[in-house]
Amino acid sequence: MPLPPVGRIDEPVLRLFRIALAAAMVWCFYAYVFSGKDWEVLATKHYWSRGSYYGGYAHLLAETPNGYRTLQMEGLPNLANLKPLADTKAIDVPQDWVSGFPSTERLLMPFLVYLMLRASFGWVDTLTAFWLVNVLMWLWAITMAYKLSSHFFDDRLSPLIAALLTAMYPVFTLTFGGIKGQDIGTVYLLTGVYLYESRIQHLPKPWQLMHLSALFALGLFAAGGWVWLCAYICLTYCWRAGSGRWAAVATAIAATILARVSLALLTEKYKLPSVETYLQFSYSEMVSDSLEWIGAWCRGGDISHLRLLNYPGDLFFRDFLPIICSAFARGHLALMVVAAWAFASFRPSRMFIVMAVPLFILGHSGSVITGWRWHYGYLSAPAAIMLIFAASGFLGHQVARPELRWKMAVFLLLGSIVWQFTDEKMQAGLYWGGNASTYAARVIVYHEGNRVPHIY
Amino acid sequence: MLRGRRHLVAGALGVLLYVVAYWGGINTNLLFLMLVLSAYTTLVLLVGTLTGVGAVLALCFSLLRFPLNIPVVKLVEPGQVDADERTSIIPAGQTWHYSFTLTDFEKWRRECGPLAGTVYINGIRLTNSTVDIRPIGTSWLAAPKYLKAYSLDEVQLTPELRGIREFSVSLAARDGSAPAVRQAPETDGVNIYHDAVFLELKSDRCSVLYHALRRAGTDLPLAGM
Repeated sequence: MPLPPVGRIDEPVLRLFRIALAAAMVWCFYAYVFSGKDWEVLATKHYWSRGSYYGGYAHLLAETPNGYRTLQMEGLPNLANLKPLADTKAIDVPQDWVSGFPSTERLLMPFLVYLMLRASFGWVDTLTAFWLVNVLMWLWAITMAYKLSSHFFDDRLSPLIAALLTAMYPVFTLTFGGIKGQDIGTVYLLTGVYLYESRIQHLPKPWQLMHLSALFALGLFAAGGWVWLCAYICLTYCWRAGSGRWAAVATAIAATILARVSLALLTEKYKLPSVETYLQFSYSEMVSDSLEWIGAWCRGGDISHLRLLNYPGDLFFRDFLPIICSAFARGHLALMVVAAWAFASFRPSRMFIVMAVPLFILGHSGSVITGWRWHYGYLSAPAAIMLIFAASGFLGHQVARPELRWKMAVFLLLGSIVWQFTDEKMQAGLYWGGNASTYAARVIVYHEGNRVPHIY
Repeated sequence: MLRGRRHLVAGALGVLLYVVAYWGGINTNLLFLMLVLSAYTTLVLLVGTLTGVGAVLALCFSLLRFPLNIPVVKLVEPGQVDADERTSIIPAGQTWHYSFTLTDFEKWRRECGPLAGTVYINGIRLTNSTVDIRPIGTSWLAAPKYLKAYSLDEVQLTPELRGIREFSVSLAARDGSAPAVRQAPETDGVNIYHDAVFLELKSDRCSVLYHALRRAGTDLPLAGM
C-alpha cells in the first residue's frame, strides 16, 4: 500500500489530543498516583497462596507519620543502599556495604532518591522521596516519549499519541507506590535513546565514546537498561544505511566495555553484590551447557538432564517462552494489532517494530539468569516502548488523512490500546507472573477496629 | 548542545571535579563519584552554555562535598518473633483468642454470590495446638469435621456460618508442645495484625478477608468432642 500524502492536521483535532493527554495524566494522578496502592505488596498479599503469604512477601513494617506500612522484601535493598551513597570516606568492611538481592543492578533508584532528599532539604521523608521519584520518572518518561516521537516523525500528532500511551503504560501506573524501582530501566532506555538520537550521535567519535561510557555507566545500575540501550544503538545501525555506521557501532561497544571495566574495578574494591554471584550463575557455563543441549537435541538424544539457557530439559520451550509470549500478547494485543498494520503500510514505523523483537528477547534475558519461569512486566517494557513509537507514528499519520473514516479508526484503535492498558487487575496479573486472571477477584479486607474495608 | 572548545572546557571541568573531590579527600567514595561524574557527563549534553555547565558542576560538587544525613526509616518486626521461621510460640497455659465479626456479610453475599468461609492459621507445630471455634463451640484435637489440613505449617478450618456473624477462634498449646503462629506485617494504620490467623469468605467473584487482633488469656479451651 503506497504511503498516502500527509495532510494538514486540523487544529481542533490537535487540541482534542492535547486535552486527551492532559485528561489522561489527570486521571492517572487520581487512579494511580494518589491511590495509595502498593502493588508490589498487594500482589503478594491477598492473591498468592493463603498458606504462605499472610502479610505479603514481606517481614518488616516501616513506621510512617500515618501509621505502619508493609515493605516488600525485595525493595528493602533500595532502602538500605541509600547509606552507602551518603558515605564520603572509604569504608572498612566492603562486604557489608552495598547489599541485598537485587541491589547493585538497581542502584540508580536509591541514587535518584538520594538526589530527591537533597533537593527537598529534608522536607520529605525517605519513603515519600521514593514515591516522588516514581512520579517524576513517569513524567520524565512521558516527556522523553514526546520528544523522541517528534524526532522520528514529522507530524504534530504522533508525539501526543506517544506521550499519551506512555502515560498510561502499566510499567509506570502499577509501580507508583513501590520502592523496587523496576521501571527505572525503561526510563533509562527512553532517556538514553533520546540523548543518543538528538545529541551524542552528532558528536565527534572521541566525545561519543566519553558520553556513551558515562551513559552506560549509569545504565549498569538501571535494572539492565544498559543492555537495551546498547542493543538499540547497535541494531538501529544495521537498519540504517550510510557510511560511518560501523564506526558508530564500534564506539558503542567500546563505551560498553569501558563502563563494564569501571564496574568491575568498583566490584573488586567494594565487593559489590551481583545477581549472577548470588545465584551462582556463570555465562560460560550456560553457553557450554546450551551447546551440549543443542548437540544432544540434534542427535535425538536425551535432553532431560541437560540445560538450555539455564532451563532444564525442554522447559525453555515448554514453559518459559509460552509464558512470556502469551503474557506480552495478552497485555499488548491492541498495540500489536496497530503495530502490525503499521508494519504493512507505514515505512517509518518499521524500524521500531523490528527493534521490538530483539529488545523483547534481551528484556527477558534477566529471567534466564534466574532460571525462573515467570513473566515480569518491566522486562517486556523495552519491546512495548518500541511498539508505542511505531503505533504513534502510524496513528498520527492516519489522522492527517482527510477522510473521516481514518480519523474514526484512529480514535477506535487508540481507545482500544488505552482500554487494555487501564485494565489494572489484568495488567497486574500479567506484570507479576504472566497470568491475566490472578488478581481478577475483588478483594475486600476488614481489620478489627475499622469498619471501613480496603477494597481492591 | 555544547560544541568545540566549550565541550572541551566542560570535559576538563569534569576531570577537575574528580581530581579535587577524590585526591583532595573531599569524597573518596568511588561508587558515588562514578555515579555523580556519569550524571555530570550526561547532564552537560542537555545544556548549551558554559553557564549551564557551571551550574551542573556546582550541583555535582555540592553532592560530593556535603554529605546528607539520610532520614531514618524505622523498621519494626511485626509481633514478637521468638522462634525460627518468624513465628511466635504460644506459651504453655495461655490461650490466644481472635474475634471475627462478619461486617457487611449480607451485602457481600448479595454482590458476590454464595460465600464459603475458611479460617486460616499459619505457623509451625500447629497440630500440637487446640483450636476452638465459638459459637460453634467444638473443641478439637484434629477434629476431622472442621479440619482441612493444608500442610503441617497451616491449618484450614471451614466453620459453617449459618446465621453466625460473630465468632472467635482460640488457640492453646497442649502440654509439652510448642505450637507457634507465624508473625507477618499485616497492618491497618497504627494497628498491627501480626498473627497469621485470619478468615476468608470466598466466592467466584470475591474474596472477603477479616483480620483480628490477638487477646491472650489463661482460660482453658472447651473439653474435647
